[in-house]
Amino acid sequence: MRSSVRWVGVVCILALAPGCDTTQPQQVGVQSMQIRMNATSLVDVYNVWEEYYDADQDGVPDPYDPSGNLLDPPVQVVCQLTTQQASAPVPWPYSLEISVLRAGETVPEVVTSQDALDSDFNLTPYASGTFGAQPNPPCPSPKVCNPLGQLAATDRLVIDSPFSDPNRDPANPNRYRCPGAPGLGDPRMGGTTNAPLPPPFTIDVGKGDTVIVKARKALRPLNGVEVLIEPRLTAQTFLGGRLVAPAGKTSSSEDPGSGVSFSFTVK
Amino acid sequence: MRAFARWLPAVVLAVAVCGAAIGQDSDSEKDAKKAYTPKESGVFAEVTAWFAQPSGLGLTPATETGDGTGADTHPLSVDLGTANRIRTRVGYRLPHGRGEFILTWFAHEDTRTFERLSPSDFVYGEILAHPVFAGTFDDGLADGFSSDILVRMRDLRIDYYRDAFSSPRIRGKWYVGYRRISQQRDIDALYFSLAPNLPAILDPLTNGPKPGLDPLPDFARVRSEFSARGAEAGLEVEMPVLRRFRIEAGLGVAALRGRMSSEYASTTHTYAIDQNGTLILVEPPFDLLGEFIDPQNPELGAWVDQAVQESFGIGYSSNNESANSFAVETYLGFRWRVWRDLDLVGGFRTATFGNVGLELRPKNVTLNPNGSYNVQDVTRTTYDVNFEGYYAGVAYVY
Repeated sequence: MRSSVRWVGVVCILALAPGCDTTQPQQVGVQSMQIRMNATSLVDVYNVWEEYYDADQDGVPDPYDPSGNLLDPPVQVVCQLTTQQASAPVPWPYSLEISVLRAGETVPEVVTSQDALDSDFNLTPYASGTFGAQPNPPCPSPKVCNPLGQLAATDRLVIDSPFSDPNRDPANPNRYRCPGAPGLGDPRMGGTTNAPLPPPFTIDVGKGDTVIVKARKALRPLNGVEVLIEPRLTAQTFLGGRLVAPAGKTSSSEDPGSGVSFSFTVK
Repeated sequence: MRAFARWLPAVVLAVAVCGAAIGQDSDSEKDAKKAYTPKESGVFAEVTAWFAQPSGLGLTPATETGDGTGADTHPLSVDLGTANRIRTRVGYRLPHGRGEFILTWFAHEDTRTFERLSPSDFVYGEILAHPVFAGTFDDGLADGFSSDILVRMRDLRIDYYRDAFSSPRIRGKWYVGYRRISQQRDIDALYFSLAPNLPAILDPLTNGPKPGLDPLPDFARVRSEFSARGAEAGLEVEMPVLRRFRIEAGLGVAALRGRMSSEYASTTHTYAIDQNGTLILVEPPFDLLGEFIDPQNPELGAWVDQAVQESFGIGYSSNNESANSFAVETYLGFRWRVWRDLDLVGGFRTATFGNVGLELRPKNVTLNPNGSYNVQDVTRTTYDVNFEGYYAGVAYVY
């Protein structure tokens, strides 16, 4: 009996020797975060429709005009300037840097490419949707006209259309001229020149991770983008599909070259 | 887990006392006499693990602010917790009851890293850094910090013990001796600005990368070293409770004199516009860094092209200042004879060392136009350190 009690005492003392501190593993739940960048400005509104020849009235646009000239393209998007103006998204180039500060770290990791730092690389989305009623286009005979709606000057259909016919309204040569010029391409962010990522920028984050976003507008718009005032660059952050409110400045001023700078920590 | 560890030694003490009581029933009278017959002379050795927790050193690298009213601002202090450290005693008992010499050695060293990171929430007060330019926004706040802490203690005693009184119920011994201690207290702290959301320094504001404008962490270091020696005296008593089980207690005091060294260093940062060598400080929130000189002629360049991040370092030190100190040590424990001359020992011990830490902090500083500074006065804070905790171990007389 006595010796067993002694052993109990010795075992208890030995049990005290190891430290009692321990580090429990963190529970990590990965969520998807999305960053959307938009530029918004006051722009002109156009009546927009498609025009084409259809001599045989089969519903298929003819590749030639009545004089036998090859049309390229056979269907033209025609823009008619209205007196209406609207606030609408603008495809505007900007520089972008997105970093992630992982939980417990003090040095962030830049997750956007080097290309994205160039203010001509990233491009905010085009305007979409229509304004007001369907236009009633002055359709020159024998063409067929297919109304598309009242569109913002920064709608991709308008920007990509090379249509210009100053003779339709000599008093106002710009009345039948689409402001755009084809070739701006798709909206893009981050990525590389060869493989730009389509917006939104998506990244996996865990609890305690911080996403740091910096962006700055280019000084000038790309060719074919007409705005009435300088756009504001704005950012939206979604975590798990839910809009969240980051800390910092998520909307730029209207000054040329202004930017945003904000961060969000996953709680 | 830590709360459990705090009670574990007490449980061990209880087990030991109960074990002794149970084991007592089967002891023979002969064994009991043998157990308490001290050897005429011999070598004595005792090794105990002291689960000591140092306190009172003011290890506070930062504060945490609440809703901004100030009333709920509280210090973020480091609790070093209990640490298992060995306390060793060896001695020699002179023949014919002429006393005994005992050497006691205790060393405690604890290092901790204390870190809080809360990117973009500037709630941590940089209380170690000098207030001038502390914090990215010059408000003395950071959104994270990392602090390394070192506490080191060395305690050496060489004592002469002699019987003071003796009876069947209690036996006392007085002692006098020499005591030498050294104490070190270091706190380093880095105060981060992890996500300050400063204006974006990107193209087209800059012509290419503009390194050096990401906020650098502020840094502060406070170090103190103290060593002293002196005389000590005390009294220890032993009370047999059972045939093989004794309660023991002791009290000792020491008056010490030694040398104190202290060092303080702080580096903070701020932004400035460098115009041909003349620095113009930029006021927070530094919107100027994100603006062009002339929006109508941005090709001329941006403010940010002339922006620099300036460091402001300030330090103060004192070496080998004469200082007085004291030590008070008490304990209460048991000694259980488990086999021949082998004892199990355990109990609770507390030792207080006064005036063993010094913190010097420059208070008012005059900045000169050439960038140098003059420290006009310094605040001095002294610290006591207290080690307390349970101990357990074995002792043997050869």
